[in-house]
Amino acid sequence: MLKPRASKKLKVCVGASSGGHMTELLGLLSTSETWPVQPSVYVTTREIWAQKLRQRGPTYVVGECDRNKPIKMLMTFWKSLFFVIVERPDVVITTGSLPIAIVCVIAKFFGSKTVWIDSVAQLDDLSMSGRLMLNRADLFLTQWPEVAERYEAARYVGELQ
Amino acid sequence: MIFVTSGSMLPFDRLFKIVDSAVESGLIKDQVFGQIGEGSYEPRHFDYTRFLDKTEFDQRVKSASLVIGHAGIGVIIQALDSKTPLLVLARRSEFGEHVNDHQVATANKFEELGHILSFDEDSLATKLRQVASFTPVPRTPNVKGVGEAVSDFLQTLVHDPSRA
Repeated sequence: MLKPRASKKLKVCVGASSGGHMTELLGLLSTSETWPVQPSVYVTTREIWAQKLRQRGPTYVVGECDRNKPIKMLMTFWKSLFFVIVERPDVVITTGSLPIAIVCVIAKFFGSKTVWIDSVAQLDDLSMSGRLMLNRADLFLTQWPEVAERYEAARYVGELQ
Repeated sequence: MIFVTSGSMLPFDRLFKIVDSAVESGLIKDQVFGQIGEGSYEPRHFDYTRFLDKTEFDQRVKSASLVIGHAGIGVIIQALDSKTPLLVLARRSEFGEHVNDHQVATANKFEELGHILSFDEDSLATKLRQVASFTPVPRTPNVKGVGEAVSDFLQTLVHDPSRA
């Protein structure tokens, strides 16, 4: 594991895939004024959302992918690696999904802390990407108490939606 | 006006075929507008577009008398916020509509909680009748609580002595 670059101010990245995950992230971001440090860099999967996020700060697009599309996953991997190397975030906070989990895994390798909030759509069980992040994320939240009960590493504190 | 949407992520031809034939057969008499995304099926009995920007999408959901959509959390929440009744068809992995069947669980759970109604090929007529007298139960999220958990976590990092 590589150490994060030393800096006094935490660099907080927030990100989510286009669609419902982004709606959840925007809900979370509505609370960011009360955070001890503000997000300063953004990551998403489609240009359509990047345009909105750029009003808040620098935004990277890593592309859509799912586990059935290995070529797209590879594209996302390279774009995510580029993002992490250029920005070196101290923390990545995300509401999913897989493309942003790839960002998290790479960021983790470079010493970042990660916060994973599994989607409110995941009401029966964790998402695949949630399971990938379950024992990797430094804070892991689910939005359904029934799901949190099944995993020691997962906490339920409420819903974003 | 009924607004039919597949969301922006994946094609959902089955949804538009069902609605198209319901319009054709006269089961749906209201005017319909569709947002079909990357689907290959092009509806013949109602107007559609592939993508809408967020502003126009929001406006469509808000002004519709009914939204018919996939069981995606985005449209579910949006319809609830807009107090527009929502009828969903869950995407199924067996038809290549999603990576897994989580939308089936979403549709069932949110229907059980009184937030939405869901349908499949056989139940559209019944559900359309139900929708006429359906008032969605609003959600009670705890965004502040989740925000506090994230904030507390960030606080531990700010004070982490290993960071110089």
